Amino acid sequence: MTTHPDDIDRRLRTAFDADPASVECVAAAASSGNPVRRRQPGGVRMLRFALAAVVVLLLAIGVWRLQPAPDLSPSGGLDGWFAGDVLVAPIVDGSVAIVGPGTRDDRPPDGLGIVLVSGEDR
Amino acid sequence: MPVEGSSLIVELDAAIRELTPRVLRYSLARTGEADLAEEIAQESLAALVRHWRASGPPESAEAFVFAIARRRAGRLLWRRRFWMPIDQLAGARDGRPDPEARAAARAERDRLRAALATLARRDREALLMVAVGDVTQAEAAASLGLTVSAIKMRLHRARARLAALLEDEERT
Repeated sequence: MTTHPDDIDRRLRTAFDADPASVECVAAAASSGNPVRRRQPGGVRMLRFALAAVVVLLLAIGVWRLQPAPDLSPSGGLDGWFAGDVLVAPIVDGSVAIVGPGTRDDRPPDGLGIVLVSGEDR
Repeated sequence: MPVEGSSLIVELDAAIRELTPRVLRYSLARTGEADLAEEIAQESLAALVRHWRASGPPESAEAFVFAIARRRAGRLLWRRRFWMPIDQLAGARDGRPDPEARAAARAERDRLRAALATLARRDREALLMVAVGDVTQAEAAASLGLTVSAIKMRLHRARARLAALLEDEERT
């Protein structure tokens, strides 16, 4: 088969020529102004849908995990955070008031205090 | 200017008939897949029909259709690369059987597309529009944002390189 530059165009046109049935079908669909969309096989559609669902789920989990921790010091002046049922709170002035009726836990100044909290006190 | 009268409808029909095989060829050369090529051709020609009916014929129907086909092919190729692993997993790259009679034509197309892929993007695009899509050099230059002399240079370079590549391949 010749590959002279002058023959390149002809060779390309021949190779990529569409069959007459396809030309007829496309011309008819285009003339109606309403092209027929190519339908994917059911398996492919389901796989794509499943992949999209997994991506959305992972994104939702990521966003939820990135939410800031709730502020624990609105009224009692206590800064801290929970790790499960354990409250970790920095000790600023030598003592820290722990939530709960009349409970007070004195700690050495500076550092972190760790208190087990459960039930309503939490 | 909405389409009125039968002469414009006849002109539109003639334009569709004339452009369909050219845009199909171009789309097939860009994508390598008949299904995608049909989708691209249908949508770009349907856009021409809508424009023609709503506002009359564009300045150049050829430039209008090929500009849309070029953009659409780019988007579909990108999307196909993204979904290809899933399509291959489902064995759905080509839903139709590939009988022996089509195999030789397909092999030639694959060989040409592999050679085309080695050309610079704009050289390839110029060659596909002019040689495969039968777009005039002036229209192709306008569509690609080049001068006519630049298009001529790119065409010459692309043809020479493609010929050399195919020659080498056939010799080995």
